[in-house]
Amino acid sequence: VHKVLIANRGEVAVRILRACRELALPCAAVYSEADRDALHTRLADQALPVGGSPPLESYLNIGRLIDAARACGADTVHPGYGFLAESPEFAAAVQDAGLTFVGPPAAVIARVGDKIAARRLMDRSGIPVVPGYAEPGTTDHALAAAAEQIGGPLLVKAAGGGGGRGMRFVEAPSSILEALASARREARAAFGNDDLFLERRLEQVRHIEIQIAADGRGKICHLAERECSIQRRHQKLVEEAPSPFVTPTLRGKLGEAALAAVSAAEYVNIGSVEFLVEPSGHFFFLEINPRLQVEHGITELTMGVDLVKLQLRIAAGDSLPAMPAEARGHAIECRIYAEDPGQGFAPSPGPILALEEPTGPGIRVDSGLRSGWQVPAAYDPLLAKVMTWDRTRDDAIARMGEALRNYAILGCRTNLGFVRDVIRHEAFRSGETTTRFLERHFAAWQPHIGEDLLAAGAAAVLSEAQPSGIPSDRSEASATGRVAAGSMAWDPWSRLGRWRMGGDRV
Amino acid sequence: VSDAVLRMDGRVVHCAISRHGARYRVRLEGRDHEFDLAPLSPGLIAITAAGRRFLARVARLDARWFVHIDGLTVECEIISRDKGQPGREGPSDGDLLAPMPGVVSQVLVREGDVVSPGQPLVIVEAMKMEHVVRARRAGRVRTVRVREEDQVEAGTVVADLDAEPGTGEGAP
Repeated sequence: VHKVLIANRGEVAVRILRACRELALPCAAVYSEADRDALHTRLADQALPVGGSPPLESYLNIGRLIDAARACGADTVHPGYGFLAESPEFAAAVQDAGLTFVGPPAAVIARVGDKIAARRLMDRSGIPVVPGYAEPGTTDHALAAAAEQIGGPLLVKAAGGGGGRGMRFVEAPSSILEALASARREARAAFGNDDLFLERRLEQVRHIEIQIAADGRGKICHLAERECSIQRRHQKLVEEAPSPFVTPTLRGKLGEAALAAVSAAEYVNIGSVEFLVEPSGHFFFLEINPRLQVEHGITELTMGVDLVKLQLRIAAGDSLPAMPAEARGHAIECRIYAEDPGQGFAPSPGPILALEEPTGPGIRVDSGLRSGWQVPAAYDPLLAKVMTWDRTRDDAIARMGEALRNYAILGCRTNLGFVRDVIRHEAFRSGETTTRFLERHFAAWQPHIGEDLLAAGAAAVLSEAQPSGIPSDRSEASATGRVAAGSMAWDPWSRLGRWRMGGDRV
Repeated sequence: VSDAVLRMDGRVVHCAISRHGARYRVRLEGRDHEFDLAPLSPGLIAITAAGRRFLARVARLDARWFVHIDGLTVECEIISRDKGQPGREGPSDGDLLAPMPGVVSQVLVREGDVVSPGQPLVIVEAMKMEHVVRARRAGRVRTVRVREEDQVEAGTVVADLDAEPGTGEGAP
């Protein structure tokens, strides 16, 4: 590994290039037309254009990415997450071009990427899977018959699935045919594979995943869990490590199951094994994510490990170093999206007119933002991730509240106010985090701004808008007495900002 | 008292603002709110209410204003506002004020000069510090009201600008 091409964009591209810098590895970014001025484009040692704004022309275009790697002399390709990170075709193309892919071999990605095959593999290896029905190439008729046997409510899932696509909730098995038809259409469009399977919908479950690492030379380990239950439309919003629910005993069992899954899949490099955990502590295998996770940072904070550098080292052929045995303190992550939570989370691209990101002890912001940039409409609305760490969960929550309060993104709508309400909610604070959390407590959420803040906001805007400021009272003007004619009733101190004090001598 | 009608987060809000130095009283929808307000730099304003201090950030995109206070962002549009009471008109947008009491050390423009946004016009010196008065927008110098060595009070108008046709308005 001598030079890394980062085949991604936004905050994860920035995250990877930081790791490359720390390893003294030259790094090249790629950018689409929409990302000409993006932060990752600016920060990398070198940035190569890979095509138009639509992802298929650029970040999903395997040929152009390989060409870019060759053109800049990179010998290594890091896929980040999203885009081609879980594409066996991309991993194979990188390997075929004689380059190193930072991730598992193409065959492993394919093995865990087919959810039906992965589920069957885990079942055979003695790892509990969610009750359901998963056979390759089943017809709607067979699925409907299986649904009657399992009973409702059910989830229809796609074999190629991810991100909630091709997924349908079915209350009663009798209404399944319609759900199957639309899930197949969506899965075919999204993954080119319309194989479906069924899982019983579990109530009151938590989404807990174990971070794992394997060096391909027989050494594997796990780095404890993250809880990612706070989700909307099957997309994670708030994550934390450790889980407020997991006891040392349960952690041991989950870790054991995760390592068994990794061995069964002959996994190499870092990854995550996702489980659903019932209130009783019973858990079920969900899937293996063969890549860096968006929420990797909270494991880094609690375990003191740099997962991106670890990925690069494993890709370079290093064996696993000694790993910490347990987590220290507590870390929380909130994902910041360019979306309008008051309008059904509608995406909200726009300009970044002003930006202030939180800093301070125990606060980490992984961001792809810069002031003056235009958030493109073509991509995922994830702008940044705010992570806080502290000794206890309560302290980490308080720190997160303050970090979010100090995050100012002006120009496009974001979910900052929404996530702040989430982490301040009593149910979150008491650790009642299940996958139904937002449904239960935030279904009717609307932004609420108190009248005192509106009043202050109005005064702030008007004092900025009115170049002459807001006139002060007559009484004050006469009281000061010495104000010269032509400048009366004028409080220059309220307008200091208009000038650069002590500016350069001309 | 200055009256304004704003659209804030989708609703129309009437407010009347009176001010005594840094102390602001805003009557909003019939209720009074009081706080201290002090601009710190362009787009950054300190607001102190009930012993707590907030930094408000303000940015503008054409007719849309965005203000961030205490973790919340409000979008705002100014529907109408008056300019204060007649006969007490403050300086206009083209007026340039001394930022503090001091002595004019340099006058860098003459009447009739065309200036660009940010161009230094007059330098005021006080306490061994120089303060540069710059043009806030493009324009033509109508009058220069001070000469070198003049003593000026804070808020003294040192020059006025006319908007120069064709140069366009800079953002405030």
